[in-house]
Amino acid sequence: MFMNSNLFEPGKSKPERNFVQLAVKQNQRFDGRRSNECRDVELTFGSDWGTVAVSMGDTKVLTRVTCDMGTPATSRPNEGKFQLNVNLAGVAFLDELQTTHDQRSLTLNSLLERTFRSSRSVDLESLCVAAEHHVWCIRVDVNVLNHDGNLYDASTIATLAALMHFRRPDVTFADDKLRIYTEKERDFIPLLFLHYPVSVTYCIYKSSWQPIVDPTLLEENAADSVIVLSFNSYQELCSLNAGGTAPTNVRTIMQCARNAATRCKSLVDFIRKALSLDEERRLQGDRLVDGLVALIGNTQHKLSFNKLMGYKKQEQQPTPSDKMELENESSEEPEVEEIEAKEEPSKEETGEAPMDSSGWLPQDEDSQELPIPSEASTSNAGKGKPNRSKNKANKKPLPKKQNHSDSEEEARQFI
Amino acid sequence: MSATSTVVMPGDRITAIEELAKSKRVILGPGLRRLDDTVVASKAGPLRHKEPGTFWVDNYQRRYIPARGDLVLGIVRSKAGDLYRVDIGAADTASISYLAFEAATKKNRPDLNPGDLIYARVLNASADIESELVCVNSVGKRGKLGVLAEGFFFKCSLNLGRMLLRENCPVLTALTRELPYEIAVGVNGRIWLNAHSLKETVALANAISALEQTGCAEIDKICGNLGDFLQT
Amino acid sequence: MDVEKDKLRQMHCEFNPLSRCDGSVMYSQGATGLIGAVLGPIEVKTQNLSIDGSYLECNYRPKAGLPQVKDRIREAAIRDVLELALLAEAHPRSKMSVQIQELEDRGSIDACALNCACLAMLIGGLPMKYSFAAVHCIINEQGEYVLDPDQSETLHQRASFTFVLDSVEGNLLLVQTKGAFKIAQFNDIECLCRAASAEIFQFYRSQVAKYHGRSEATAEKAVMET
Repeated sequence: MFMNSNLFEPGKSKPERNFVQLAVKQNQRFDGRRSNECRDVELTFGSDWGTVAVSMGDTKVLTRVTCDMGTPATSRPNEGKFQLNVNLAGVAFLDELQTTHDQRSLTLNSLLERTFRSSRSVDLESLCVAAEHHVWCIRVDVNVLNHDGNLYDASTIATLAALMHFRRPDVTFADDKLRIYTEKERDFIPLLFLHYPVSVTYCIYKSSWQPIVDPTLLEENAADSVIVLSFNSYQELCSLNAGGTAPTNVRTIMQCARNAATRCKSLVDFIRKALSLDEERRLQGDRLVDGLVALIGNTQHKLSFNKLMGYKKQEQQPTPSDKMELENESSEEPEVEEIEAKEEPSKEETGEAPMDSSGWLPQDEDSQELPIPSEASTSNAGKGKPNRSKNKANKKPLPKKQNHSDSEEEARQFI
Repeated sequence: MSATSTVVMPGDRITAIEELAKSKRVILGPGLRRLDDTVVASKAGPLRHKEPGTFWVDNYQRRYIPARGDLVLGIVRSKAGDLYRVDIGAADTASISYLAFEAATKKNRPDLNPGDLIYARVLNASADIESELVCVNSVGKRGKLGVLAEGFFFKCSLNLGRMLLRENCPVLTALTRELPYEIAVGVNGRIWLNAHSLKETVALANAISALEQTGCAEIDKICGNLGDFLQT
Repeated sequence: MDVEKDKLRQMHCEFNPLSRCDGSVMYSQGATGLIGAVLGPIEVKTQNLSIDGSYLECNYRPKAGLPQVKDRIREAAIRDVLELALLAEAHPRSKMSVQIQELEDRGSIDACALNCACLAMLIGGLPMKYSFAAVHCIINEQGEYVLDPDQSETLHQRASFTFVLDSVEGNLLLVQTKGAFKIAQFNDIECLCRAASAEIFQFYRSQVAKYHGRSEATAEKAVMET
């Protein structure tokens, strides 16, 4: 129960747990956020390629990407190597108790592995110099500096930003001779990506059906289950991690997934924007001056999500929150389940559900652990359709007005 | 208490205290130590003085060092025979006997479980042995000590805790003007709060945490924010 | 970037950027930056337990990857100095943990890491006998002395020196030298570093005073109201 004997862990005492449960029930959060509102994300790029510090509130993660030449694995002779390392010790003091350290770092490591390696986000084949002999080994080091909840998102954002920021030296291989060029001789080359995944974390409590996004440490420790969803910028699911003890409604997970997909897309857009700003800055030539030293007091070089994506935030927020209140008042939890149950057979009867929307249906979600990149456009286009077909299907057996209206709203928000 | 204070650094010799010590008794508080005939600081912070002869260094600190008579908030970690082990945020856990509660007897044990929050007084504290807590005063009454069931609690710096515990603390009086609440402040930098509604408690907790950043001078502004928040 | 050869680079620091530990500091000297964090006194493992003093744990982490040999050497140097400065007998049967995380290495990282560790100890409230300051100095190709050099200046150096001095007696706590030099040069550089250390101590004091400035206002207000 107690994670760390020497550090104060919020959310581990009974009053705190009860209080958080109560707060979630009343749709209140400690920092005044709404249940679907995330903390601001700040990126600071280091002076070296591939060094990024991410902060989300008090959670701070430092990631660095490095590379060197190596020999490929015999099973994949024409692919580069990709290694992920998570480090929780050091200034974050997360390794005091060996057991918890293991659990935490394993969870985080496996999330990163599945999000980046298993989903094949980096094009490893492009890292091959000479098949079976020379490939680039990419190493990602995730250093946790401070933990205030939601290490998952901070780490995935940091990793993606670092990978996108990273440049490797150019190399030629001729006459059995390997030549690595310095930056002066030839410009460094960025990595190639197949897709850009980031994660979004939700906490679920037994006292409330409403999940909360981007939990703080207090909320995370008091949560009954934590769901981590990774989506890429094409809004395809890359990994799903749902554990804990709270029984979760399929509808809740679907709702999380939809919101997460949009959030991930805007996060990737944000990283792209931040990178282009950083590039501008480097071209201007103050490259040596900034770097991570900018973290100290100087806010000029921190690239904030809310600032860069400001216009988006205003657009997005009203819709989901209105919907939430609406659903909250109606408190039609059991009814929703009923509908959910009746929905599926009726859909089969009408047969209106388009085939490509299967990615959004709960029963197929499990099987879709590894999305195929080519599916991107189709599942994207079909997003709005399942909702519409659900409405039609619902009208016949169960003309519930309340449900009808809000699922329509969902669809609207989604499109 | 004198408001004029100089910042001392570890190793600084404080001759003012040495002078005073020649004429009367001087008490050296935390952050000061005696080296032969000299008084030397061991921590960095403003030097404070309280009449007649008490001196200490008011350094910023988050880690609690137990001292006899302190009021602390602790979380019960485990039962160990006749004792409960309590986490009070110090280097070692503290212990509390099951008899150290009001009206507790061998038959009638208090019902404490891991995760419970208690407000207790430090009975014994030494660098070499485990500190001991009690939840009763010398005549066996619980007073304001005991288990805190509801409400919310959070961690802050020791300095903030000490400031709130000061008599006539301007912060608490200012907050009382806004809304009624219950508060228990531990010297170990933990604060327990309970107000009428959840929203009020959250607002209070945020107001008190904000003091950590701004200091007391901003209390009027914080109270204003609090009022605004509660009205929305 | 164009700092004179006999001046330290600009120092900056931010106290308690991290919320979990007992004290933390982000420290930079020019473009070299580090984070230091301390925890203590805390529970100690029985194997490290000492009845007459606290056990000091010190770790230095490079920006990426596992600590290499040079990081271990740096770590050992920091530990040696901290052990001298820490008032270990104040908290027997406990552990003090000091962690240093490198952010950017642009010259004089050894000296910066030591200064960062000292500031972290100060703000974490660990009892100390004295504070200390570390100064790095090199002799460049032209035989000039360059105090607190930037990375670009260290490429062609004849010798490099790191001096650590305490704040009370001005004793040398640690001296690291590399390269060939004459004893007269060593003495010159020691004087140079000693002069520079005063500036660092002044920086410590002003930063601590600044940090406590807010609570100062608090105390005054409390006095006024009562």
